[in-house]
Amino acid sequence: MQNDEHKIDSVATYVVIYVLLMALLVGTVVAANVDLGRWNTVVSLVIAAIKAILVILFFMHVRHSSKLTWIFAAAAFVWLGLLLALTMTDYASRNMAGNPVARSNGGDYFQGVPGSPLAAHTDR
Amino acid sequence: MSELVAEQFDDLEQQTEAGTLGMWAFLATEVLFFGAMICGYLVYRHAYFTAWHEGSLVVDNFRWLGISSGAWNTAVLLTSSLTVAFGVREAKLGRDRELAKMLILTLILGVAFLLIKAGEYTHEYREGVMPGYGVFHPDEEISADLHRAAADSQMDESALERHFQLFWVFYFFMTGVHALHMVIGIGLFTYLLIQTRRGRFTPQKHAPVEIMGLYWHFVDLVWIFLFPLLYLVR
Repeated sequence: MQNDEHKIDSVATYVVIYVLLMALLVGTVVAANVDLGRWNTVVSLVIAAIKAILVILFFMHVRHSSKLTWIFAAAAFVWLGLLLALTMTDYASRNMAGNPVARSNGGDYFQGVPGSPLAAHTDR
Repeated sequence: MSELVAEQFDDLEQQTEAGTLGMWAFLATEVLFFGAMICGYLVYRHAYFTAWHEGSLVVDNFRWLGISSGAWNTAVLLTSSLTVAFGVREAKLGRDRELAKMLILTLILGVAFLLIKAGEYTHEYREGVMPGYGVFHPDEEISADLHRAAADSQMDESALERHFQLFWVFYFFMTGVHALHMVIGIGLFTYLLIQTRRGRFTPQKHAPVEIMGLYWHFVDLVWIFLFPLLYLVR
């Protein structure tokens, strides 16, 4: 139990993290009202990721946790990354030049796709 | 000491470790549960960008003092995460009165979040954007915006309106499931408060505070991503 003592963070640590989180919130709201074109999306998601890392490491105490807890926490986000990356590369590349599906339906890849939730509609 | 540790564990540290690890295993399934919804949201945002753009503008337009309700709610949840972190700290130090105070503050902030969310839902219902037959009738202002957006992007207006309704299906499902997690969190923290009042937690035995604290932080974490995705990303 002796090594439990150093796992108690000081009040100041939590306050600093909280101030950082609130500053990032103000930053993301301000940045959203400035027209950065495509970069608006990148900026707001990068800020969200930084906030998430601060919450996980400090508020959820992962920085004091065992290696096994690190693996469990990291696995969740690795699998989430796989889900998002593989799905989005599929949909983002469907309308590329030379793709027969994109040619045949004018770029709306949900139109007429069997099993699509929107297959019943005829959009555009 | 021995009665603190269940017989399958060597010592208290291993027992606490097992509890934390179990909670993280559950949270990993929650990441993928919310992740699937976010993935669907992103796919349709990619496909129906115009409708998603118009939808986010409407979501972000419910304001108080010029700041959108989504930003207020993010501030409320981040503050509640601070009170939870303080609460866990007080539990480790064995200060019951301070722990109870932090739990009460967390509960107040959790209820405040839900009240702001309820205000948003009411506003959105009145604007006619809640999806469903007989309910979905966007008001004149929103209809005018959709008309303009359809003309600008050379889209069929009825198609845009269907895409727009789909945006709101995602919005209400994602925020609704998140709000359900908040309700469960408030229930868990009420239980913690009762147990604290009964003096059930000591510096050696306070795993429920830590583990339910992890849950609360996770619900905050989900909102940290829902806020930019629904309100800010246009």
